[in-house]
Amino acid sequence: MRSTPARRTGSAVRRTLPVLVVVLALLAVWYAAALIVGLPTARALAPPHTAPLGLVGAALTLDRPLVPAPQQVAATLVAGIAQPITSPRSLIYHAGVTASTAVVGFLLAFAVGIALAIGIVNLRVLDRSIMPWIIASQTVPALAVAPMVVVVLGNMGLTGLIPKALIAAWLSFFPIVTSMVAGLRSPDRIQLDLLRTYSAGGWDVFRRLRWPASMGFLFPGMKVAATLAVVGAIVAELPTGAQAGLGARLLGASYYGQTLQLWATLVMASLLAVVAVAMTDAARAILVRARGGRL
Amino acid sequence: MAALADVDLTIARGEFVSLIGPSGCGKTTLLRAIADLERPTSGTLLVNGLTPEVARRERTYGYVFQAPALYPWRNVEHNVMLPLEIMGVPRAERRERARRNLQLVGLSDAARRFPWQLSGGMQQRVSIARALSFAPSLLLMDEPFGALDEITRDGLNLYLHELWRSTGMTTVFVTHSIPEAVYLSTRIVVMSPRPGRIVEVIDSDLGDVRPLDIRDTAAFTAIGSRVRHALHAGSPHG
Repeated sequence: MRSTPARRTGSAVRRTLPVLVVVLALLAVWYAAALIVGLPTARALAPPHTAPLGLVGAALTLDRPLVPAPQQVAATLVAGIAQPITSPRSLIYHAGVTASTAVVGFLLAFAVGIALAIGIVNLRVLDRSIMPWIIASQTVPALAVAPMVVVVLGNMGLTGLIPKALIAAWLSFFPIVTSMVAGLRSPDRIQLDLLRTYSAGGWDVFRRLRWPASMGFLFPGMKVAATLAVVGAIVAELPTGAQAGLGARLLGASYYGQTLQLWATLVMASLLAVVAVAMTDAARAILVRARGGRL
Repeated sequence: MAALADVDLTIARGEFVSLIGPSGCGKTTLLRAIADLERPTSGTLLVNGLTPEVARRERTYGYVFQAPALYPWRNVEHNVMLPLEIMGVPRAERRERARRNLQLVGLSDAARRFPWQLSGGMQQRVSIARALSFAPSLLLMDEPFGALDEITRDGLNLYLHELWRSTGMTTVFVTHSIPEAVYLSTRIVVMSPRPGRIVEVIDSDLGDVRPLDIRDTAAFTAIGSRVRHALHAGSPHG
């Protein structure tokens, strides 16, 4: 069924309206918070007998606000993005550093996660012996492990991207393992019996049934893994004394009390995560297309 | 507890044999034992003179399950080609055989569609085409039309009968529908539960040409009633 232009607009409005309402509500809460926190400072700084409206304006445009107003964060973000990409103040540059760590970390997590899942599904021994360690690995705070990883790898002569990517992968591989294990185990008895009637070998069962059946499980896991790779990359930049990357930028801004910079960097980080999720969605869309519209 | 006891049955080449009985009579278990999907604890079972395991390895039979068991990520044509891929049939011949078998079940136009775009009856026809694609000498069917509505089921019974008549393929068919068994079979094996036993083997000698309205004839009704009586005689509460 083809939808008419009028109906398409209708559904577009129906889709964007809820998002818009939530965004407006969040902005309202944000402005209220900025106002409540900023008003005492604004009153102290303002000349006596300033009109209430003037105080409000001052509270929302403080130089070093505790809670910056949305338009201040937006302006800082835009200024950071508009910097030439070679500048150490360019948010694009820092985001690029973090993104490359996240991408390498994610690819590593993907390879290790899928290999582990295949091992766990095929070898009972691995299921019993490795799975508890995989779960335990996620209970260890990455922030505590990160410096150790960096120091140990630094002693082995590995510096720069690799240690950070390993920390990102550490956080990122878990949802890939768990979703892939569930996916590879998802074929039901009748689908497996069918291959048995053809006396298919283990490799055929894997590539013609278990692997394609797991895809519907893999993508939700990959979505989580993609955001965790970004978070992991940022976490890895915090304690490693990194000079570049959104994590380094966050640490510096926080150290020097530059709240505007801090918030703008946070927004940049969430934009990066959005892009990461969009990329997994795009990969999913390609597969869905190849499968005629369903995963 | 044993699912089957004292089952003694010989099926000749070209026969269409139905296994009928109430739930728990082991009719599916017997079929799965023939297919080497279950191992009998004792007794001798030979499929074309081979043990079930060897027969399975030699790809002697095609099996149609209660559900179509199509792989949703493969389109119809690729579902039919699945066994051929596993058996190493060259690509061109795979396509040709898929085309021919889809034609046989009247689904030539649906080759590029995906399972979820088909009705339940069409899906089951695809699964029959898949079972036939590698030209096995034996067709095993486990209540293939049990989940379908009566009208679809009638249509598929007619299809299956024509298919059996034109190919002369030995078929073992599990069902719990008396009219279906009488309509399709040359012989009907009536089974009883706990443990599964053969109560009676009834010939369904309605001839080779069977239009659907043969079910209104006296001969048809008579065979149906013999099956019903045998089922009752075998039932412990009957």
